[in-house]
Amino acid sequence: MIFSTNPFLLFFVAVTLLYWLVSRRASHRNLLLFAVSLFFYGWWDWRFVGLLLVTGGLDFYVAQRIEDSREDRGRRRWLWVSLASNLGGLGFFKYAGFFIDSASVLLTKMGILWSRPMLEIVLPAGISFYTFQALGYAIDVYRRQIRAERDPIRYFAFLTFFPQLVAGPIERASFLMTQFVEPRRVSQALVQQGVWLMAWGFFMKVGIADYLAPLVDLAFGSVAPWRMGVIAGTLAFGGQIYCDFAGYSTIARGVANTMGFELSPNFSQPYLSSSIQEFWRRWHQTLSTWFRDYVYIPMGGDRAGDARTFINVVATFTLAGLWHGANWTFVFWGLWHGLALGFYRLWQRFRPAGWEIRIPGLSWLVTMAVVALGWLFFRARSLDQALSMLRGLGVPDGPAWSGSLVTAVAWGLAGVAVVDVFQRRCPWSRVKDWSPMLRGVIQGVLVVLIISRWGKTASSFIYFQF
Amino acid sequence: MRPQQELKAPSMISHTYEPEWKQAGLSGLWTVVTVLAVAVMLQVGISMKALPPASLRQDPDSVILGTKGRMAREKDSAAVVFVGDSSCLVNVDMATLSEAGGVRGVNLGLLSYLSIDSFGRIAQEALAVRGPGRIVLVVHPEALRLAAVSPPHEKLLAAIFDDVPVEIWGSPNPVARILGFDEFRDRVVNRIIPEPLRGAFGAHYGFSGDLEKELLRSRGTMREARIFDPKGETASGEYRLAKRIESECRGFRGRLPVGTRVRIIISPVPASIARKNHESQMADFQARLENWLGADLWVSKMPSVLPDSQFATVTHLLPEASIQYSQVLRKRLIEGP
Repeated sequence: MIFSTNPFLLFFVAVTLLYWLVSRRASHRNLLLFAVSLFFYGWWDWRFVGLLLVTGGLDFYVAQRIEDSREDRGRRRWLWVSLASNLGGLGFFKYAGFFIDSASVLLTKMGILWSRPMLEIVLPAGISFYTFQALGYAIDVYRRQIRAERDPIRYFAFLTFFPQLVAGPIERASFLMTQFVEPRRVSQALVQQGVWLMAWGFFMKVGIADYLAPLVDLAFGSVAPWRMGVIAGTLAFGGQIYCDFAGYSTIARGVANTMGFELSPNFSQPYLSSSIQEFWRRWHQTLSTWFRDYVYIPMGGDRAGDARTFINVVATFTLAGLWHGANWTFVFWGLWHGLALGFYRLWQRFRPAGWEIRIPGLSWLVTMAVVALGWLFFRARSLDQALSMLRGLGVPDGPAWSGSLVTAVAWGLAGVAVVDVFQRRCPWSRVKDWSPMLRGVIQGVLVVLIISRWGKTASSFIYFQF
Repeated sequence: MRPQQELKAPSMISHTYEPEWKQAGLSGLWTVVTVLAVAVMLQVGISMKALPPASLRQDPDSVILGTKGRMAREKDSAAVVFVGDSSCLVNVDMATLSEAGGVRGVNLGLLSYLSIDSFGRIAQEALAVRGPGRIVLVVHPEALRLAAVSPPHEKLLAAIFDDVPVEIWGSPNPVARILGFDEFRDRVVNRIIPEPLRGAFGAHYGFSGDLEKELLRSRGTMREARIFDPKGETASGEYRLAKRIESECRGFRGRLPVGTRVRIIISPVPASIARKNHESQMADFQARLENWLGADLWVSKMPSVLPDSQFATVTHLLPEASIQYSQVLRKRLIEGP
């Protein structure tokens, strides 16, 4: 079920009413949330519900075995079971075709004839998100940071919590599971925050991301890329993916708020960053911290010298790129960001005294250029297309509609800028003290803009494919 | 390492409530008031005619109908007016026709899901500013067998010529329609922000405004960007004349001023879908249509079947093929029957 569709609105109203009308007992509400979350997920394909329950159920069992094991060896063995099942499932559904294709290309280039098996594997929605959440839970139990959950309903309510099930934020059990246990303090401020976040989230998705989507398709669909088309298309995609994903995360947080839950922020105006390091502190924060805690730090983090730190950063980002999708374009995107961050850290460490960028806005411009080049690879269908588009930067003349594309993209990017600057200057901590009238009027304007574009272009969320 | 967190439930109650809902209620109320206020302002603006009319730059169909409507009413030096379905729009290349002192014309071809009577309406408008002249009606067998036409398209074309506010297809979102936000988008937003076209139209023309410019520049001819794939087409070569055609043809003729000379051309189909008796069947269609239309002259020997390689779709020729086809047409028009 996609947030920006009529079925979800009906679902949300029905679930919220049910949620507040049924018994206030935690166990009843957890059961209700678990049931509606399965319905939400099964809306795509009921077969995937089985997969979710099986893989999630295995982690539920494994976490208890980890906790019950007296010896470290036993704990480690059970952790490997969790790693193998989670990463094995992810690998099969998401990467089997990719690795077989890549092997086929490699073998063909080596002159080895190989009959490639034809696999038609359907990727279950949100598998990368809920797999990481379940994996994080098992690792946290292994590290003795949390206790294993013994109540299956509570555990599954945490794992399948519908606002964040298919596209995050990727939550830690220490933060979200506890909310299914402890009595939640539902305040009018929390509900108002939820409504405020939902209004902004829907505006970002429906008003901006869906507006930019066909412009990106036009630019990236061109068989003869040209300079302004490549620049405008890449910038438009940067705006689209941000408003699409941040919009989703913001709606998810808002929906959770209306039911008394808090979810972690996932984006904090990343396009206002002045360094690549700052960008990654503001972009997809829950994935970044997941990779930091479960990949980068176990690899040694920054504790083993500059060279090793550089390698760890690059390797972690390359893996994060692969997490996004089974395509070399994503791997390159991760590698690009890893290299950028690795070199940035080295620059920060070894920069000669006085070598600082003093031109206002230059560091922001350089950061955005690095990010934009990454987006070009991220959006391209293949590395060949990405390279073709890069070559297009040298082609000055485009089609007759090049000017219209630039104008249309400029409108969309202006929308992105307005959203980011507004949210930076007016975070909820400030907005909550505003008068109800001012908040209501702003919400009303956002609702008008949302309704005006609702259903005009029905597009799924980009991150569902990941 | 952080201390282990105890997840045991301290109580069985899931929530505690803060009973102060006044602020949330006020905020929600102001949201609703704002939405309604905007809706009322829009309705007042529309009724007082303070807002411009709806832009006809929404999608390829509205651009084609809107632009052709304007072209019909603009006096030019055209000696021949071409009207018809999308096979006229795409296959008849005006630049080729006028080459080497050929035929100076204007292409007012529309879309297949409009009636022949509507083609007559645009011809009527064109002749009203140009005076009685020569009309060539170009139709494709695919359009002739359509049992029904598209009422929204008919309505839009009629609104354009009747000078009444046009209503674009309508939004899939009923709330936007009821509150009038659709009107705001159609009348204001689409005049400011370029609207991208989808699919093959988008890849070739980019934006609705650019399609309009291209139609004006080419005197009404549109280029196809697709390539014909017989396997991907579901069309069959079993053609017939739909029941509506006879009355529509008579309606077409009735709209034209006395002295107007009408010719009719049935557009070609790809060889892979043409039946053995296609030529004779088209000759039969031709005779019946001429009769109903009161056609007084016929352009002979226009091909009724062409190789698949010349087609973009079952009804549309590729740009190079439309030039070749138009060269033949120019010759026939100059030579006469």
